[in-house]
Amino acid sequence: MLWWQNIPFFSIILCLLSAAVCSVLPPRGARAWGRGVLGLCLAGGALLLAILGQPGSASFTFMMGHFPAPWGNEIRAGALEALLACLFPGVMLCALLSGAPALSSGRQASREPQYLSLCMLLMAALLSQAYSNDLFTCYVFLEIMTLSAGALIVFQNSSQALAAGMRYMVLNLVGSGLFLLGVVLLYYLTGHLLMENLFVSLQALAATGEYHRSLTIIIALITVGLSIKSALFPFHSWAPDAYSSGVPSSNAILSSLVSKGYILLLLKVYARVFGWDLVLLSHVDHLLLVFAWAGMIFGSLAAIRTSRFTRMIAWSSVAQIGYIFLGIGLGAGGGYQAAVYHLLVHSCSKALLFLSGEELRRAAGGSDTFADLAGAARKHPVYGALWTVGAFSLVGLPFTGGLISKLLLGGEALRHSPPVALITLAVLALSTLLNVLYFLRTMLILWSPGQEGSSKRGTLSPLGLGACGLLAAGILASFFLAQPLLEVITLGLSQFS
Amino acid sequence: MNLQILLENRVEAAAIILFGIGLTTLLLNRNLIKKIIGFSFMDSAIFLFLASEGYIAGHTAPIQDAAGSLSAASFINPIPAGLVLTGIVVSVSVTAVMLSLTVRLYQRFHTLNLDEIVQLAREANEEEEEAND
Repeated sequence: MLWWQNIPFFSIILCLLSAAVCSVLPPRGARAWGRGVLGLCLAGGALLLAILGQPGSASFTFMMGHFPAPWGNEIRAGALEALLACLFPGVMLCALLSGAPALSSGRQASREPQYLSLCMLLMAALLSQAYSNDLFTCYVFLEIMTLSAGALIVFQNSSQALAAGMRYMVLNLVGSGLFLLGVVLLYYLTGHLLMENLFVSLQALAATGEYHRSLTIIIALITVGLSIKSALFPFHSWAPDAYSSGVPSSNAILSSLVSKGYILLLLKVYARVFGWDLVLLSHVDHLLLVFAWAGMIFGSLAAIRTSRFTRMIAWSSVAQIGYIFLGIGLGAGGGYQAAVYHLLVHSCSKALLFLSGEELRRAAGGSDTFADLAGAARKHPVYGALWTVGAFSLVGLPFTGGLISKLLLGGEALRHSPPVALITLAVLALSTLLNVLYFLRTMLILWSPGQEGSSKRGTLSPLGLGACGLLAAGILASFFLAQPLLEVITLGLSQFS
Repeated sequence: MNLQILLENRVEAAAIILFGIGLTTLLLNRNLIKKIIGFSFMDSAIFLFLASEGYIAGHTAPIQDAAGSLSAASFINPIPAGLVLTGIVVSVSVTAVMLSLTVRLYQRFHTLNLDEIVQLAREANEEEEEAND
């Protein structure tokens, strides 16, 4: 075994240990420790990407404790896992750097170590979703992710955050329950929990043609369970409150990372456990397409209707999750590629919108209403420009990664039957138009002269600014480096099968 | 025939019915404590299902005797038991977090009805923003 093949395991274990370490350190020490660990995870992910992202490279499996499954546990890494192992710590690090002022001030200051401890747990869970090769391990870390994300929402201890946290927990537990039932039924049918073994057994079962109904029920249970947890329409009711009630870094982490962990797991289950042919047989792909189409429109309409800035960004997440599920619904190959691409772009864009948006809110005196935000971007032109980059990306304008993902989705839709292609293109066009409406309206408000004090400039935090700048650079890089990025995604997806 | 299949799989059928009861309670009941009970039902139903899968009639627990005379063929399947144990740990942790959140919500809003809590939280938020203005 090569030394770098230990990176996935040590990234996960380091985050788990750091969760305990951070909770006992003083705030300054915990902050430095948390940032250091995320930096190490990011460096490890980048090294893996440099090795596994080479054309023709193969994925590898790592047996923990050198026990073969089912006695031991396996993790697996390929190009896609390495790419996500860069994205997850990178975005979380940016969120923590930019959200630091809100965390280290006021009543929350003394509880910052606990907050970082939760972030470390969440990172361990996210990395496990990327690397784990075992469905039950995925379930355990799914629950760790739910618990830590719920705690991040209620961290602020406001009435709204507490209520949003409880709604998040209740609906996510429903999702976890359905997912667990699906996993247990899979074990009942096959006697396996390891993804490769499950795939072989399920293909053999499907070939007999006897278990079609059982397999359809299992695919539906897992799909609905993970759709609830990733806030796909119509299971999104918890999302707008949860994404807009916490501290700024929580909002950014929840909307840009947590939902992506669940989507990644669904993608892995489809590609590596069932295989796309079985999913097609179950017709769950039709369900995903309908939900995605509806979500793209409904999320955008709700974003237009809301009068609050943060809630508008939160509602836009519901629409954007629809885009990702549209890619999954369009199927293996081009559809999955588009889904993963939009997952990457949305993670950077959404985190940037929440984090730079918080600075703009602060410039407007902390108010969240559009009326009070008039001229906020003029007080903080740099943050205004960064927010505009994030908004441009979600609209799909040139020079941002959002354009590439929309082109990929549109191109893949054309390869389907005329009704699916027509509806998909129409929904994409309408949703883009709606995106333009609410983002353009917000930009006009932010850049308008404002009522008074518009010449007053706020102070800039170099770390926060650098973090937002990195996210914006990621969005621009996903446009200019689209070809190599697509090659890595294609390689990663091909290693799935 | 159908009844016979149902009788042969009575434990699995009971587990699925319990899961349905738990899921409905968690989703539809407004009382937070009853929601948590529903969640516990749901998880316990899955553990019952798993435990019944691992059990083989006439076989013993997978523990070797002092003489080492028992063969692996005489044991029940230990893997579902391991999964149940892990699942119980997860379930207890989630229940503890949910209960602590319920206590905090009750202290703040003096009700256990989630719909009322959401409504009161919205009103509190609006009042807070008006005060800031």
